[in-house]
Amino acid sequence: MDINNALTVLVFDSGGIKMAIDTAQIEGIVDAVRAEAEKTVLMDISSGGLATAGTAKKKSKVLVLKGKNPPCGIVIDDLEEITTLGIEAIRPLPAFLSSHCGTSAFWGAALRGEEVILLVNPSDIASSGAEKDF
Amino acid sequence: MDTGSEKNKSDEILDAVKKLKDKGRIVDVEEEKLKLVVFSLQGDYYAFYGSDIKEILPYSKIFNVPGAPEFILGVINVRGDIESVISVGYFLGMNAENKKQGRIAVAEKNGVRSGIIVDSIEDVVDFPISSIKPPLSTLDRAKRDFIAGETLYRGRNVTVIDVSSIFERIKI
Repeated sequence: MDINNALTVLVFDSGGIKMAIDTAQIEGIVDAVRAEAEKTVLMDISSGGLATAGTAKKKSKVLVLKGKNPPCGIVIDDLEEITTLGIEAIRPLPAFLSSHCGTSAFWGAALRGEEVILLVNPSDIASSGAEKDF
Repeated sequence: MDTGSEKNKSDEILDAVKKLKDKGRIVDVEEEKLKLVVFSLQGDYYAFYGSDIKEILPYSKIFNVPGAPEFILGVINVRGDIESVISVGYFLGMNAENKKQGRIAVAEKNGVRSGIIVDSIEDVVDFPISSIKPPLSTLDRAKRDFIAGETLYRGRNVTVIDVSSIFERIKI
């Protein structure tokens, strides 16, 4: 992660929730059908777990994460933009919120105007998602 | 006859009588009061201790956090800070729902801080401490853990919520 006072992220929408991920954590972006064909383990973060069989088909794209074996990806509804977040726009999540295991997929939040964008923590998204809820 | 010493003695007796009388007098002292923030939730009145509430905000968009427990509705942006928003109704046996309206009371207690969504804020009032009675023993045990007492406001029952017990339950 680039910590030189700015973070380049890819902002996306999943389940109506705005999220962002460090671009350095992304291997690539593929369509959902191809990801399933390549046996990529698919995560639907907006529902807090593995993507069900039909989910990936409904969602259009998959962000394939770097360094995961077997390959692991996040299913998303829509790509918004790649942008740079200044460190002044980044906030931690409230302590008791981030300590609940269900929300460990997020390491913080970014403010964009009145909007709150959740920052995804890919290192906590296991390749074998069936063994771990996030 | 020694009238001087008799007078002194009578004065002493009268002083003693006066002291006895003063001892029995009821002194009017203003009763200690407690500030309560009275709010409504699903048609009923509840209250927080005023000392637990830092500010009251108009409703603003609550951003859902996937994977959060049911009682955490999400987070809001408050002047550049992220605050969580919880449903007090959840701890009172109601559905934890985000009605997308109402008010958000920001509470802070024992190092925990969070917004708490309510339907409306009715008033902020000083109540005599004696007017706040313990919760009914017939109350559901699960709810009673979060209730500090009950009182009356404009003829209506008000349940006083113990924010510290809610925060103890939600923090890990």
